[in-house]
Amino acid sequence: METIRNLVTPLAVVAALGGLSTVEVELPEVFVEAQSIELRDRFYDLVTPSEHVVWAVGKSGKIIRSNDQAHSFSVQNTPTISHLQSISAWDDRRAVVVGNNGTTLNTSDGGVTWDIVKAPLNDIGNKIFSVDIAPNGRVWATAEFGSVLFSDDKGKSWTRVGTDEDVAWNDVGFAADGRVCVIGEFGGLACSDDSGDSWQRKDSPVENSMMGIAFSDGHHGVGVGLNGKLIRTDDAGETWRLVESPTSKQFYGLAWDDDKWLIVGEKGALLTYYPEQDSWTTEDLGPRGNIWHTAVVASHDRIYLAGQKLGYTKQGALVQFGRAR
Amino acid sequence: MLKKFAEACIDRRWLVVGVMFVLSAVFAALSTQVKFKTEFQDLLPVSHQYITTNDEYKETFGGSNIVSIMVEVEEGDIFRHDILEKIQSITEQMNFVPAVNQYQITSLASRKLKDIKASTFGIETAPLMFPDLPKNDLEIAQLKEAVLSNPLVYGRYVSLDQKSALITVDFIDRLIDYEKIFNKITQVVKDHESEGVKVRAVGEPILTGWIIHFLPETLKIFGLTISAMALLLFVTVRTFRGVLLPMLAGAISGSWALGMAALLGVNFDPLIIVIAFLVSARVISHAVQLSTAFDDEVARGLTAIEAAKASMTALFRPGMLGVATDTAAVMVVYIMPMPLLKKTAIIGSIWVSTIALSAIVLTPVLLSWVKRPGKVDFPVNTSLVIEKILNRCADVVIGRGAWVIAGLSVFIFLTAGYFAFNVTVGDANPGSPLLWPDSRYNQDASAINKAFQGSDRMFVVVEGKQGDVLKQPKTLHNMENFQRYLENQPEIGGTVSLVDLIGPVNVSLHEGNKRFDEYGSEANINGELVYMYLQGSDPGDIDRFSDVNYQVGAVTAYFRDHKGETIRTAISRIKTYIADNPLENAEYRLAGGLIGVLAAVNEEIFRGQVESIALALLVLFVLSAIAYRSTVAGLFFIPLVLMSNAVTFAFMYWQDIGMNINTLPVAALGIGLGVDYAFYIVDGVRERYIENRDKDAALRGSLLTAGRGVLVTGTTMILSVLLWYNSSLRFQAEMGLLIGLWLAVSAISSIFLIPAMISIIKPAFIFDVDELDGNAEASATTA
Repeated sequence: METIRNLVTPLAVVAALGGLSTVEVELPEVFVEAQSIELRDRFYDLVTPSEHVVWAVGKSGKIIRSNDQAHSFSVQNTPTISHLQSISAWDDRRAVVVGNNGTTLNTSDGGVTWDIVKAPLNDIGNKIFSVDIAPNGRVWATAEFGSVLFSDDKGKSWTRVGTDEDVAWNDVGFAADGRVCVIGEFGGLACSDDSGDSWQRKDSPVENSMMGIAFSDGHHGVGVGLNGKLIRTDDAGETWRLVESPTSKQFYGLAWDDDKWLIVGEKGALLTYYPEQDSWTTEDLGPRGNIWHTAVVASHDRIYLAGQKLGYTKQGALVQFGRAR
Repeated sequence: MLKKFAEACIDRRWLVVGVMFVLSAVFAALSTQVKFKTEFQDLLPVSHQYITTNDEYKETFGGSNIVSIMVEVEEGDIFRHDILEKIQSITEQMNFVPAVNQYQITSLASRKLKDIKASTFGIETAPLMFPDLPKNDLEIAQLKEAVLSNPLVYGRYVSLDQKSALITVDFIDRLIDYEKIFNKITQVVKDHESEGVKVRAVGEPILTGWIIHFLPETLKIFGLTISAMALLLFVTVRTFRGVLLPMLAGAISGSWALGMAALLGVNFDPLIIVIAFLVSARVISHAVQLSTAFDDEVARGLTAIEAAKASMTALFRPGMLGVATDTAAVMVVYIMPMPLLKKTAIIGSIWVSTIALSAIVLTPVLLSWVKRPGKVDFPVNTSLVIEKILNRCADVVIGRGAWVIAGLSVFIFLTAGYFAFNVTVGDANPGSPLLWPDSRYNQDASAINKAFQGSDRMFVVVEGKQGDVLKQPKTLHNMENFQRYLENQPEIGGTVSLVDLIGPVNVSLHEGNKRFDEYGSEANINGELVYMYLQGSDPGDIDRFSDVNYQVGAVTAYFRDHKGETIRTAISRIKTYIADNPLENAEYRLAGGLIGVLAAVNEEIFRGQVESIALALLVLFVLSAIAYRSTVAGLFFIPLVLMSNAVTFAFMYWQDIGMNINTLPVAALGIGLGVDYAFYIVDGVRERYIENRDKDAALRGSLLTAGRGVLVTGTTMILSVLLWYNSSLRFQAEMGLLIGLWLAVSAISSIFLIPAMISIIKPAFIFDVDELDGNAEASATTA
């Protein structure tokens, strides 16, 4: 018995230590929380249907929404990976989004679910740049190859109208008496007075591609575009004239704010144009703001910016959402 | 037999000494050939899959030796003629740095960074600032415009605040001579600094260069430590020979080990000097034990020759057991796949094994010549103090105190063990753990990581099964999602791949409309976009993104730090992504660049950690079981090793010292080292018990003799090792502390825990008289 014990004990220790030497320890995984706004995100457009709600859309089918005045955002599930270019909302619950590959999305539950509807566009040249809601509730969208789309059922179905030419319409604006105007490549301007059945080309004072158009009231509107071009109309889009601009930076987007136009573009461009005085001011967003923006929205004392980064300015201070690089 | 061996050695002492000195002279001559240098390849676990990937692709996607140089202005921005000139000059100077890969020099002034413009003729790409600088303010303004609108440059080579510009340069690994690179680059840095302009440089070659730069200081500290040790030894042992003989033993062992290193062609990494010290400490410790035993025998009335024979006989077994255990424990390090660790294991074990001759044989042989054995050279009788301390220790461990010691030890072990498991694998802090946080290097690293996305890179290869895979929208989509996913980790400042190159070309093609910052929906569109980018560029310009067949590309991530946890998190997340998002006709391969390489090293260290501790314990068990022919003896010493390891690892955790390629050798050697103190104590008790058959008296006797050696060497080593704390190298300082702690725990455990365990357990391998009778006779006659 003693002999057995004398033999077994050392063998057991050797076996135990030998066994221990083969143990592979695994460290617990460190959890990295997914961020709602990621470094690589590009948000091309945003809307603020009410004081607290901010909705933004961008690359790779991404839609984010804040219900607390942009303190926090959450990512909404979308059925697409196409880049989303523009969003418009009737209220906090109902909105429509457009993007690449003829993609349109609509929601009636605040974005809890997004339904995808393929726009009636060709397989080629099917990028939809902009979507806007007309005063009568009809929603209009502009796309490549002269396409203009509208929907009367909040984006559930679309009708293609347009100019059937090789020009990309970048934006749409609404003048008095139901007039719809589109603006696009090579300074292109066209308006329709019959709900899109026919389109009349308007003389453009520029040859540069124009990226945005909007009206402050039925008669006064502006268009902005590349090389710092700004054109204005005071007769509901009938005639347009070039306004001298203080910069040659590209302009990508605009918004009306009480008595002035806000214009954003590349390299941190944020300008204010006062149409009454025909004068400009230029905001300095600082080194962090030295980036491009495609959309600007004035809402409740804030100026929201979407583009390379999402953020807002308030009394001259720039606040960017998401992680700084 | 032991007695006969001792007698033979001392009777033929001229021969023994002659042979030893001739051999030592030969090895000492050889040791001058040892090269003090860092071989980068030595640090890498060669067979690890990340290292294979790194080796395969490092020359195109950037290896682990990239140096980043930042030119930083205090006022205004870098778009000034004088600053641009500096950037250009530094870029040009980089061509003359030894081992540079001239195709991998990237900056505003290199041809690699291009402006992409649309024109009447299509897309034009032209270098931003190559070969000429902007000639006037207008051209500078144009350059600034071009930089700010180029996402491949702005934020990556020019900081977002426009105050800094980056120049990155890679090297051909096999040609690298760190000292030469460091000297050249630091000279360039110095030449280009001026008032209001800072130039900073970071990267592995610079870091290693700093370590080499501090080599003379390291050697000075080594010398100072030896002197301090000699002084302390003199005060405690009170004789010149008590100082000289251990030092001689240390020198002989050192010359043998370094001579062997030269013979085997092994270089000596400056960072493992601290290990040389650790092993030398063991040599000295053994020699002091023999010297003390000799003094004890002389005190009993023996002549020098008799005392030398008696001490050699008595200490041969514990001494050799200690040497054998230490040698085997050091050999365990050989299981690690990094060549540096294998070399450390080989040289370390040779070094430790020389103790058998340099200390255990040579010291008593030399002592046999002592003419007046009882003479002391230091006037103050410090022995009385030591004796008083040891008597107090004996009072504590004999009787009930033993239980208190045991209880306290269990408590310390459990507490330390709890924290020990949290020790970080990899680096514990941002910056380099080798240098102090306020060192120039770490300050520079911190500034660069703040201004840019991060200076440490990792590339993950996308390897296609056929050509043009990288042009496929599905591949690009997967890669972009991968980048997006990687960037969610806060320590990753950014990523870059072919995806990021295609978007800007597409934007230019659409008059600068940012809504076209995207790749095409078909492979041929993407092919055309890349083709446009490459118009007018040199072959090789696309290399860092893809090969010419668009079959193999890389996603490169920029890390702000290389902490163990950062790397582990990144690798684990990447594996998850790859598993969840397989590529069609391609696969991701981990991982190159500095972070990829460090990931491989960390994984191996982590994998080997439990294995090496278990193997060291196994060695200890087997050897002590054989030496004392008892399983209990095999197990008896394990608590001591566990205790010193637990306390040391807990200390590492507390002090934020990570387990990395540099600390591992010290930690691994420490697993086995230090148990020899206990062997001497145990053997001392055994010998005394055979003499007087009184357990308590045997314990006290052993503490007063063997314990004296432990206390003297322990205190001496610990105090001298603290000198390392003044090192400019944080690593040396921390390792000094670590070794000091190791020695302290081993010494304290040997004086308190081991006697307490003996007192409580009363193990048969010490006290079973019948069992010991055979040995007793031999010992009794020598005594």
